[in-house]
Amino acid sequence: MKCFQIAFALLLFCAAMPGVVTAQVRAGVEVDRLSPDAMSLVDVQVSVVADQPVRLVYARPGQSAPARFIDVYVGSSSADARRAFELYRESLSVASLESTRLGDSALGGGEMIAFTRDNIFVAIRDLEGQDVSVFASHIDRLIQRAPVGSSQASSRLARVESLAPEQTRTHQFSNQVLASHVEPVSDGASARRRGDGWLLGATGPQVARFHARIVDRRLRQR
Amino acid sequence: MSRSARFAIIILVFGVACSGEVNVDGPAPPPVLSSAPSAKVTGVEAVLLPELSVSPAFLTVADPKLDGFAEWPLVFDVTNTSASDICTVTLNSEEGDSFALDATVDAGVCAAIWDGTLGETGVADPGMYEAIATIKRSGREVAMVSTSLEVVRLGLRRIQLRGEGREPLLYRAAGGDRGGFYEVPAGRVPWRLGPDASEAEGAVPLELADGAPRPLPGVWEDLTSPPMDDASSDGVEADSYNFPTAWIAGSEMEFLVTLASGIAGAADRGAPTTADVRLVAPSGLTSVGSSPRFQDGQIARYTTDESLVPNMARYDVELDWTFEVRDEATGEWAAIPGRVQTAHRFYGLVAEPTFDYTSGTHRPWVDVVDQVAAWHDGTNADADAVGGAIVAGVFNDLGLQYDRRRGASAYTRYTSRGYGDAVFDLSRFQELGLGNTINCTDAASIVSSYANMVGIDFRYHIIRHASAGGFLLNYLQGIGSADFAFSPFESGRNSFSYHAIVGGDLTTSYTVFDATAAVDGDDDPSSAPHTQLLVQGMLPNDYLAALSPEPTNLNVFQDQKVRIQ
Repeated sequence: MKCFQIAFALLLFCAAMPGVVTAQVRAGVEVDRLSPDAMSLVDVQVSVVADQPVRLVYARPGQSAPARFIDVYVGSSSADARRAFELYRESLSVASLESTRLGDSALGGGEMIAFTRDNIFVAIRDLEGQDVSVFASHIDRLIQRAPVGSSQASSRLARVESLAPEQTRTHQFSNQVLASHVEPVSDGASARRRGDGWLLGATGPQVARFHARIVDRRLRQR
Repeated sequence: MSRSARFAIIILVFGVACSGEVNVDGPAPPPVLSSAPSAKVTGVEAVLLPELSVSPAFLTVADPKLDGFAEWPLVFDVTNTSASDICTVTLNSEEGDSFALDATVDAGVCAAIWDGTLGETGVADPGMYEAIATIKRSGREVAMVSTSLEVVRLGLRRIQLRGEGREPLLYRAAGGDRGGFYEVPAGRVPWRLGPDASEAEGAVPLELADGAPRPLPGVWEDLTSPPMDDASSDGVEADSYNFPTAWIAGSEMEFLVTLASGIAGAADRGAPTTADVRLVAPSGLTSVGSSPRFQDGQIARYTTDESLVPNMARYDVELDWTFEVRDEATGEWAAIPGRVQTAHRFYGLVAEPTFDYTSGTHRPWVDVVDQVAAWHDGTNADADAVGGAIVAGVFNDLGLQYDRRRGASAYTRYTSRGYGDAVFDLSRFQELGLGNTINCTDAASIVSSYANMVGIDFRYHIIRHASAGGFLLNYLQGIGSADFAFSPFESGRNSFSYHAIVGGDLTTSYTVFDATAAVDGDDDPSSAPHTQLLVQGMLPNDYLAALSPEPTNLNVFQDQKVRIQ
């Protein structure tokens, strides 16, 4: 009986401090579950700077013009998500922003909503002016159902072997990698995106080294 | 005996007795390079035999495959001709083949015009030939002379451009792949002629495998991708190409021109074997030292007499490279018919490109530099004038519009609080891949990165209210709007939480540039009427007063260049 009392007390404590309950680290959210109705993913924008949101760009079928942006950042903590949220808020020129009830913190309404839930930041912006409130709630629920686990993509996915002098090689990431960016980190190294992967080159006399930033299909970065 | 018969006998006697030049029945006599005047006074009339000599104008070397080669005049001087004299010119090859050419005698000249071909065999191969001129009178050879000439193959296979003012250029989408950045470094040879790996055996720099002259590479016009070649290790054309180059305005250039000969199937043939041939500098270039004797692989150096890139502009230049051969006897140089006309594109920049970052994207992008050159009038390389042209171009020409809902950026992200460390996705912006709706942050990124690439030290600055969450606005004409409006937003709110602008170093007396919105340039920016004033180098206080009715409450901070991806 005493155990039940303790457990009940803990539950009450957690209910009184929602941050404690919700501050779980989600292992990202599956990109395929995020697609808006009647839109398809046409582009994934990865920043060259670490710990920035990934932008998913959606378009109407048969059209190249973007119709909706979904920015997602899977941080390692709720504080990370909150930092991304504040950066987003800061970048909007409109002076006063409405708040909305969603996730752990949210702003916007109508065609633009940004929010955090646990360690994940999401910003949705519909370029056609459609209301995204329902869609944002849908994503919030997806996040809440997302498994708890590592917030980072596997380092194995981001591994790029060094290259011997005077060599070139095309590096293809696993199909678990949604988007990537490779930068040379040694003299004489070059990296160029191609349709079939990244063309890596070592033009100098020394071994060429590279650093890859990748996003997996759960939108986790490495 | 008739009068004409006596005359003929006189001539025969004269010919045999005086010079022995004519052998009526026997084979043609050996070549006569010079002879004494021949005349005999018969009492009633003097009969002169013609004399042939090689004209000083006789061209001993030419390349029939050279662009612009039309004809090779084989010119012999003749004296003592009569109207009935017939001149013939024959070419004998080293292989023993003989080709008769049509020739004429006129005004003391026996000349044949050779088109450089040898009947059905086509253009003559390089090598030595003997040209024989003969005069026949009354069906008999009365004079003859011969000389040698050489068919050569002349050309260029590489033009390197050097100079302290040369800057790299970057293609942003090699092969059409976004992010396929490909740099043409400042030290890279921009002009090259050579056979592709896929060509049949025998191809050489100047000729295709079938012997046809290899077309010279025109200026590569694609602004986003270099020429591609599946056969090269990095997929980019490495055999024949002609890249544009970028130069700080006013730069002098040094041309290092690699000479080439060689014919299909025989790379070692075609260079002059005995004659002294040289490359002649095009107008506007001067040879560094004496021009070297033509030899395959020899490098000739030239410098510009005056800068070919005096201003911020795009310059398309054609250079005519010609050749001369030196007369052994006189030392005079004679022009060889034809030319090699190379095309070049030079971009003049304001100054050395300036960035806060060193990674590979921080180079002048070809399409950006080309765009800025098109916007500027090309009359100067003044930073403020070019910066102003960028503002006008971005505001008027790119089809952009302000985000009237939220003022959200599409292409730029601040990656640290306080509007710090902005990252600009220029690669997507150049394609408008994220649409044409932008905010002030994007406009500042566009203007500043374009300016940085052409050498203008622009940074982005942030304007905020000193204490409140936003500041009021005067009437503005937002980018993409036809008219001035009380509010830039659909909501009707006439305030900004912040505003990003562009200008020089905040610690100096900078001026303001902004393509987000035009301000009302009249005395009262807070009400109609409105006079459009693009923000092209305004003094900060003037700008703040035009932007907001509360200019003294505004702070200007941040002094960074964007990071480009």
